[in-house]
Amino acid sequence: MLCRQLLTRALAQPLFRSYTQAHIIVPQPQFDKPLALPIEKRPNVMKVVEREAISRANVDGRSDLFIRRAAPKDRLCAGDVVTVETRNSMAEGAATSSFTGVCIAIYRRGIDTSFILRNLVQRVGVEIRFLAYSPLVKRIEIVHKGVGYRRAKLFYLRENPGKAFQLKLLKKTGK
Amino acid sequence: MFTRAFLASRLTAKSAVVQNAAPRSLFSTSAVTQKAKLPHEKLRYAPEVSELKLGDYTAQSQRTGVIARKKGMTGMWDEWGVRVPVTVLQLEKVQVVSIIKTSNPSCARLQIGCGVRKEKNTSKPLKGHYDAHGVEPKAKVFEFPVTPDAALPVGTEITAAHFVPGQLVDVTAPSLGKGFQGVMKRWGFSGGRASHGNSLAHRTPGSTGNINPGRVYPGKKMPGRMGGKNVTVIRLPVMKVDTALNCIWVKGPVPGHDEQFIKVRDSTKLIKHRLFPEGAAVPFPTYIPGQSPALPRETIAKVGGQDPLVPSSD
Repeated sequence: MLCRQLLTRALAQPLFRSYTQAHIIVPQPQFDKPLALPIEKRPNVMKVVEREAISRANVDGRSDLFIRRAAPKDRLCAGDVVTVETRNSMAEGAATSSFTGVCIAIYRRGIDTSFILRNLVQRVGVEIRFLAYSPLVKRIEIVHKGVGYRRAKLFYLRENPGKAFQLKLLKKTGK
Repeated sequence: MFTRAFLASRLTAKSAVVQNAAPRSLFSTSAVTQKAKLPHEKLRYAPEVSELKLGDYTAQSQRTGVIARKKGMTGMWDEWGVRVPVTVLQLEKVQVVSIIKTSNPSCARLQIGCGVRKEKNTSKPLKGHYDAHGVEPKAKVFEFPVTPDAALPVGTEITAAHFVPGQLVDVTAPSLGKGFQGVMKRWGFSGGRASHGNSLAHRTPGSTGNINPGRVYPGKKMPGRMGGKNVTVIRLPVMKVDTALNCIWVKGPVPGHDEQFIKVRDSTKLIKHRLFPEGAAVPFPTYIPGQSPALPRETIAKVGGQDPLVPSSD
């Protein structure tokens, strides 16, 4: 039985490789079985879809930054200073651009998880919302952990920035 | 008292006469009809599932549609890095229940069933119908017209591989019920003014007609129940096909709530559009395991065209 399985798998491999039609992309890695938990009698389709999509997009362990119950030092928190490097396009060797700002909000929505960075660029407030699992986002790096923030959403920084955007880190790279 | 055999013989004789008179249907059921002894056996479509063979798709062919279940919405990224909102539709035990001939010999409808219905919840007439065709009771049944070359034997299972990534589909389902709504929401009327002496007439329909003819015309747009009616969304691209979960990802929203039964069929109104992407191998009349080429578990459609994130040189 095992031999048969191995044989069929071996036979199947080159078939898949030869299955390269111009109109189709085969996402990598392919999961032979849906990523369902052993507890689930019938796999919850939407949860399986989300799990698989995140495990594919989680190339550099970035999903650890968005675990809700992790210790604050291990995850991204509102108030942290974050640098995000994005590709300008999906073409190979495309230029990248980076943005540094204070994270003022995190939206945990599975594969559509996003966060908002805010900074002052030439005294003008600039906010950018990044989708965490977008293939265009090359790197997410926490440059400085925020201190003294007690809220999940820091929208009050728009009206009362205080000294939030006075950090040297923000001034240097916030261009 | 008529015996059962006598009745059956009379019925077969009658049908033979009718067949001679009317043009012969292109959907052959002859093999079983001759053997049939009970009246209900005549309903069976002759070829067995094992006799199903791949055919050649032509522009005139119309494949069967399927009943799928809406599972929910999510997002994915195409090859250019652009996010695409998608709806996940699952094909739960989709099977051909019966074939229904029409007066037109070159047109018939395939009755497609989806899901599982408990036997105790199936009415006896329906139970008899399912038993006659040797199919387990289905949660939902619907008919789709097909051309003779796309006919499928009763019992054929239709899987997600029936669809090709990049092809276009039409999707039909009852929309979300909105309840009793006024004319502004239901029909898009402008309503009244917000100020300038307006009194209690901000959202009213206003006049419903002239003094002549002194009545309201039938079909006048008025307040009433909104939603909960069949809505068809046309030309939705299939973004992804998952053969293990038996799901298709369709671009954009689809009418109805989650777990809603959705009718999905090949797109029909194709002005300046291709039904299938160029160079695609069409599973015709459907994907047949063993005969059709083996597929990877998941395949994603290539959007193609120009990179939208790179400004064009001209």
